Amino acid sequence: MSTLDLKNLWQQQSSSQPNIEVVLEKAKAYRKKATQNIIIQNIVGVGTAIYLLFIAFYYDPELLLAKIGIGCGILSLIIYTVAVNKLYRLINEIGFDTDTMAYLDKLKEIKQKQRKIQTTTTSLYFLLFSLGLGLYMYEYLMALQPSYSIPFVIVTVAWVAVNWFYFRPKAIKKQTAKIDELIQYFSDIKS
Amino acid sequence: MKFEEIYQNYWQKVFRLAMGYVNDRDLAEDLTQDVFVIVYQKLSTFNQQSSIGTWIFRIASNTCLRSVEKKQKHQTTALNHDLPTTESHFEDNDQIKFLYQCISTLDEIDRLIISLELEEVPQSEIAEIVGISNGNVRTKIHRIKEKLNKKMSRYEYSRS
Repeated sequence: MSTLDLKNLWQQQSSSQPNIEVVLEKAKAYRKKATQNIIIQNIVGVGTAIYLLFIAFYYDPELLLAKIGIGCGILSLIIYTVAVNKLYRLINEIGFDTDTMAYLDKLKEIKQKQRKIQTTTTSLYFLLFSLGLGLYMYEYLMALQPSYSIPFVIVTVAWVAVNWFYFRPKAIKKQTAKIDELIQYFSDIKS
Repeated sequence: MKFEEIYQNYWQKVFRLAMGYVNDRDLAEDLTQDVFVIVYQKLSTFNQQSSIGTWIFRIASNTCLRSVEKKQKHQTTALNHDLPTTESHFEDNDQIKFLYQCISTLDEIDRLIISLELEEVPQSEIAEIVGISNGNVRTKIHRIKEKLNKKMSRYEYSRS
């Protein structure tokens, strides 16, 4: 079969072209959805931090430890919000019109950065939130009888341990499985 | 160039490129729409350093590469090496289907290169789109065509 025949065959394939309005609608919907997502995530992060600040001022715990605990909680939320914004910027800074080889490098780089941000942030979030919870509760537990406070401490520590050793690795694994597959795929294409 | 004009001139070309890459009509149409969404959003940033065709095909090729995210592991139809032997298996457009099937089983970059070649994009522009040297493009095209011609000949032989 000659090259001309291949070209001829190739160009016989066609698709029913949708009305241009369909594409324009999709473009508008994409932009709206992307902006909405990032705004909602920022509102949730900042809103929860403000709520924790409100608790700190309203209940005004006596011990410095409790205040540090609330500080840890707020810090974990700040880290989460910053990470979400960083990821959003990363995904948007990809050059759609660079050549294929450069694009593959960029995709791989972005996926690796995304993986790092997600694993670091998840660990930091779990660590700071557990620490914050523990420090905040310390003051209230000290006011209780040991017969009440000890079981409470045991249950809380066990819950933190389950979070750290079970839910954290599970969350990280879930987040990274797809990314790892993509990193591998983009590497394979280039090699 | 106006978006409407680009849309009319390039839709089928982009669709064929996507079709050669994924060999799945629905996914290819979806990818083609994605390409034009990006073209629409980024048209104002087109700096005319390359031709509009090169620019559009770069976006189209890159969108195809990312189709894997759309369908985390998209399943290209596996090439059937046991070619059909009876005439009853064939329809009029089977040859076209077979060509696209063959292309979709090539390596990802080879799929893009041969699709652009069959779309009559000059080899120097293909080099610019893919980001490899002119010589490399020439060699690859020669090798891919040889492979495709062999498969198509076997296919035709099996029909006769």
